[in-house]
Amino acid sequence: MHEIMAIASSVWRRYLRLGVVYFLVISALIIIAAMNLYGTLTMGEERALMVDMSMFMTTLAGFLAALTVAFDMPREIREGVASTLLVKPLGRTQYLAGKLIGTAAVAIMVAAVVSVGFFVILKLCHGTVPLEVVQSHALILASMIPVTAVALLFASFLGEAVAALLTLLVVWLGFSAGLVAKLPLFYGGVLPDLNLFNVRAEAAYGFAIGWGYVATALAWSVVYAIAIQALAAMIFECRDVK
Amino acid sequence: MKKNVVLHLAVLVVAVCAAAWLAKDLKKQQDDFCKSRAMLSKTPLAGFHKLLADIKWMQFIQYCGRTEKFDDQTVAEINVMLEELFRLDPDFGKGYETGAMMIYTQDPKNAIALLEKAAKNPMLKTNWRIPYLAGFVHMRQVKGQSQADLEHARLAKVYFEQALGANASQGYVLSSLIRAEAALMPGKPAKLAELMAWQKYYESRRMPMSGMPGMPSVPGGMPGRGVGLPPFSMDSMAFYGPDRDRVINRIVSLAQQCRAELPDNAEVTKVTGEVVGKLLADTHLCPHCYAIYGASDRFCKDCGKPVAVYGVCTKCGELLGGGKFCAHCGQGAAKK
Repeated sequence: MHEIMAIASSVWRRYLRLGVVYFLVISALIIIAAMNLYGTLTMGEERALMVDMSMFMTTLAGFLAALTVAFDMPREIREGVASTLLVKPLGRTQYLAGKLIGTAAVAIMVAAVVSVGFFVILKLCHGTVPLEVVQSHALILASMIPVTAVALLFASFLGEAVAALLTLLVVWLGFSAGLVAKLPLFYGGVLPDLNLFNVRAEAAYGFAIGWGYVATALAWSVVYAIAIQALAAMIFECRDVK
Repeated sequence: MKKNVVLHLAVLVVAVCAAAWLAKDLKKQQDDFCKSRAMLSKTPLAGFHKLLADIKWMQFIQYCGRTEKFDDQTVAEINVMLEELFRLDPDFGKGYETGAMMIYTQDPKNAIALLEKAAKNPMLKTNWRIPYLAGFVHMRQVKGQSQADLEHARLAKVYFEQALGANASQGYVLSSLIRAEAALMPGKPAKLAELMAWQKYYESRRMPMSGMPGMPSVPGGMPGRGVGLPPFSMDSMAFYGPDRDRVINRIVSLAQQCRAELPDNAEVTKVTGEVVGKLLADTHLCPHCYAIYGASDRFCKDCGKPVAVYGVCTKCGELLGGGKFCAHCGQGAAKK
């Protein structure tokens, strides 16, 4: 456990030292705040636009932070940094677990900062922050866990560009449920059903969501991440790391 | 190594099954509170349908703003834009209202279809404006008393009732329902039809009275048979709504006009008598000309005939100003 947390905290510190993370957060908040100026263009629907844009920017910021592992891990393996780390007693499973926890924590933190910034802006501009909006943002934060796990899976055996592209594709498909959504074992068990975290329209219109749903969705994201992590560990065990 | 693989495989299988089970439960819960998901476009937009709908909405507003004339081509383009908008956001109530009002003069059929589609959306069932506007557009199509006009009036009535059921508190919604009800009585004079419509609406919403414990009795009371609308007691404000005085004045005016225009018509006499007796039981009306008279009045201001005096002290005859006793003689203020 100590090794896992050491890897995780190393990932955390490294990413938070990057200036681009803060640039991303500030840009997201500026764009969200600017939506309040669209009152005339939207005929009084600027609040709904602001809510929608906040959910888009929160998802985007968290996703970009989660995607860094798809670039970071293959680079570490290629440059030999990973082989230095992967001497006993640090096993490959602990290495992957540390990467998952660290990257997921960064993604959740970045998304959380954008969310909290949006709540402050919404409170200043429109007086109240409805519970449904908070819950929808909580769901977006929870969705960062399976997204990070998927990125880690592809990074464990593919190069940077391919891993990133495949992660993007799986996440896109995960949100765009179609016919396969009727097969719960496949979609929700094998492929991530990220549409379960999508309550954007309901949050914008103030339809009740329920904390029970949020808790169950968080449980699903953790269980699914464990499944993907197990698969990634199996693949990584078989990989030759110089 | 083998032990590791077996362990990982076991964890994988258990986690996949648990995730599938949780996903199934979540899907069921989501279907419960996201009832309009089936109406959503299947285009893979990574769940950002609502944001794209906002952009489409702004494009729609810009388009309508720069349009100088709403001809057939413009309306056709607007229809296409609205269709795309509601495929992305089927719960956008304001969009349905605005879009329908933009096109209803040129294309009432599509405006009605749009509003009817919105009225069927379970997520919009508390929006009273959508069914009200659907009824409004239907009533605008009523030009005469043909079968098609009666069908429009019938549908308008259904939608106005749906609007009232969605807690529409505006008085004009009730007035619109009465006009639609009146339009369903072809062959009758307009004012009599409207008066009969008020009577019919009142009867449909009256509370079941006779024989029920704790309820005031009503002679000849009948069970309420409203269309999902809450019942009310005889003297409740609920029937009149927030525009109580306006409604009462309107009914009184109708009764007066009917009596004045058709004094010898038996049906008019019967209906006005019933309306005054039931709907206006709490209002003091001259029995001859139905003019409203005030407390302590002994004669009607409009026709000069004697009227039953009310609101005066039974001992000294002075006007009672409210309270339990007469301010002039101290007599208990019994109701007269």
